[in-house]
Amino acid sequence: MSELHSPFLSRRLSVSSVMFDVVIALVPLAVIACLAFGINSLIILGVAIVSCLLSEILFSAILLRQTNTWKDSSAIVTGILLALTLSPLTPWYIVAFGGVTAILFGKVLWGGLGRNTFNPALVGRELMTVFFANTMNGTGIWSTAKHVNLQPTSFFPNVAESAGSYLNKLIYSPQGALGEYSILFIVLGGLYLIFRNRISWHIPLAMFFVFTQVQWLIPDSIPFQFALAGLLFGVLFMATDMPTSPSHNSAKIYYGVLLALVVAILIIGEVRYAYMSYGILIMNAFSRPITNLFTPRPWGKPSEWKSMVKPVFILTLSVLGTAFAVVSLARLELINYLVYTYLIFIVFEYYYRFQYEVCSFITSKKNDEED
Amino acid sequence: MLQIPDYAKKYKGQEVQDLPDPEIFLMPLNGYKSLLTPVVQEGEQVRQYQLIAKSGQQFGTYLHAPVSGTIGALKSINESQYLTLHNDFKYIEQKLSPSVPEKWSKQELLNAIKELGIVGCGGARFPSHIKFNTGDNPVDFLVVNGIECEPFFSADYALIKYHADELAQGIKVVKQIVSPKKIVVAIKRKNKELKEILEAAFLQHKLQAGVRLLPNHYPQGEEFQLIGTITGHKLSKGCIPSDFGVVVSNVATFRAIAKAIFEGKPNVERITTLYNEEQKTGANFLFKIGTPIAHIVEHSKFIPQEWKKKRLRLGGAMMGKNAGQQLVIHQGTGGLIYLVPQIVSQTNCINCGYCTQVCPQYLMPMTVIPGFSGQKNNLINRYNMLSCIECAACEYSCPSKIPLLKYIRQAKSILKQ
Ligand code: SF4
Ligand code: SF4
Repeated sequence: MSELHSPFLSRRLSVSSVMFDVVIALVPLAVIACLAFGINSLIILGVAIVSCLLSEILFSAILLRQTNTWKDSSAIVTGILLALTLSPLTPWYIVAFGGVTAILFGKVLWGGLGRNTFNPALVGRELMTVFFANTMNGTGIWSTAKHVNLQPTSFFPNVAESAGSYLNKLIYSPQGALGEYSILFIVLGGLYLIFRNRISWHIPLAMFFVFTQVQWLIPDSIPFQFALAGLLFGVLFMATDMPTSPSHNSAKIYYGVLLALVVAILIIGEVRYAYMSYGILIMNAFSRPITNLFTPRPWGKPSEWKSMVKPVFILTLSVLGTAFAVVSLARLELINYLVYTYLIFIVFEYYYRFQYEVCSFITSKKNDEED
Repeated sequence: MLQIPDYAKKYKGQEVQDLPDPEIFLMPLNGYKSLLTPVVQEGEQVRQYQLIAKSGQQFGTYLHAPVSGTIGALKSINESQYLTLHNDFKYIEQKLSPSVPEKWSKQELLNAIKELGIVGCGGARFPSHIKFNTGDNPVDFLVVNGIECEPFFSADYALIKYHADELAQGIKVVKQIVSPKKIVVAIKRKNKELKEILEAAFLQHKLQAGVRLLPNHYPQGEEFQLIGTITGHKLSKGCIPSDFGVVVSNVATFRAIAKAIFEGKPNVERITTLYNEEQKTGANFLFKIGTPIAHIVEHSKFIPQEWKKKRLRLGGAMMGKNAGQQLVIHQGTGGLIYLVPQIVSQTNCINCGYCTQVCPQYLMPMTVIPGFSGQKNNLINRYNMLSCIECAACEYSCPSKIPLLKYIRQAKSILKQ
């Protein structure tokens, strides 16, 4: 929008209202988490949100010379998402560490919201896993059963036992991470976002379709275990994150399909707990190439699909290859080094590239204003 | 697809109002890809409807005096040429030659349309005698465009509501020229009350024409979008619709043709919407071509006296210009809009894809943002930015308030080199 060039009208929609819709969709999950684990959940959510907000304010001011970025609510979204992937027994200082690193290494060093390649909440989570490996991967932190405040009750007393318990599990089942207790509300939140056009159905549906096909094709002899709630949470709220996923339909479908394959590979490769976050992070890395490859066909132009076969084939191979590489690294317990490499890479990138880009972006904005 | 709220709902059906004529007219001499040369001298007395300028260039047209008076000096303002005309308020008319076109040949009709200064009233002012001269191409569809997708505009709505009769006559004339297989009048679904009015008028004039209600999307009224929705042909930018058997023109053009042929009156006036966003009021006015904006500001109560040029938009909020760049009402000016400045702060692109979702050409506007990681010259080329029609839907939808259109124009000028 500028004074001299058309258009002179703009939809009353801002980045913060987009982000706020995501917050609305996540609130029911946070409430359920608080019902299930009481004060524990509240502390984790609070610490995550506050640490994200504070580090956003601090690091944006220092590194990006921008002081108003916290207003766009994206830090709150990152905080809630991060908290919802954690166990209710995670110590608060680890959560705070996760919040700070999520914003710093996941977002600010990339140049701020929208320029990041990886989902900040997942970056924070993986850094927590690497630097607090003993706590985060210990079995203690995941045996939550005896801490549950609100035991699951039967919502359908009249329905036959097996069906009833299945339905109850869909509504409330306090197992796993904070955000995974109610499949019903995860799906409702996702539907709300789809209804508000904040995410589109393409990634979740493509992912789910392919994933069920894979599950059906895999012989019974191979163990194939996953938590449906975690899968849904990841695909609806993490994989559809705007900056880190493709922006138009054909690319989104391809992205969803490959996400399903990568996650399946990780599950078969016995990457426990983290198959969803690794899967999404791997796909994040390929989001821009996918976007560039699957462009929409312009109005009235002939289709170019024939020339796309080769690049699509190669891209698919590299994505699947990366998935296998990650499986091997996880088996050899070398994932830590991958994360260290990432840290070095991002600091380097910031120092030699984004720093200047950010500065030139700011000066170009100044010039605009002077026009 | 983009939906813009119907801002004109309250006033679009109101009677068209009049303003007193100005003392000085500035007749715009810049036409579509042509510059008209005056055929009258400075100081000469002219009658109302007298020819005052014409051009022999390829896209040249004719311009007539909207009132009687004395010709003044030639003026060049902001690189555009204007001929001044001092109104004597006597309205001495040139003798008009109304006709009954049934006996006329195709060429005679086209000549009449040319000599009476009929140009497209949708904005670009493409000369109608060229558009309707389809040569030997058979015409399957004659599309009468009553969509008017710019927000705030309601001039075409008022025209259909109050002048459906003349519209039907105009369509009949054009039908005689291009002999289409089918005639379709396109209006927006939200204006469906116009359908009955139109059908009644067609029945009265024994005209076989259909009325199509089209979705309220922006930019549904753009020529190629319209052709796509009505015929199913997706023409890429740069195609000539008549090669595909389609002729599209704006409703106001058909009315001007009816007036020209049946009354002999040249194209000297049009209906234009005025809107003030501060008061949230608008109305339709009948203006003569060449009425200066300053006069309109002074006499209509719609735009505050201490108006700022920067906030007055000519020809629409989405695709129009700043009123500083064009000083008068011309044949294609559908509206004059006084906007409240929006305080927006630009942020990073968040890759939400809204711009792609609304783009009628299916482009990826975010790829032109400087610093977008895919931005290489050959890449923009792949993204086909040259087929952008500058409809501004993308920038309207962007939550980060990025001046996409500015970047698109930059990218285009790089690509064209
Ligand atoms: S201005 Fe161009 S890029 Fe933007 S929506 Fe319109 S056609 Fe698409
Ligand atoms: S609408 Fe704006 S923020 Fe969204 S992708 Fe397009 S340019 Fe980026």
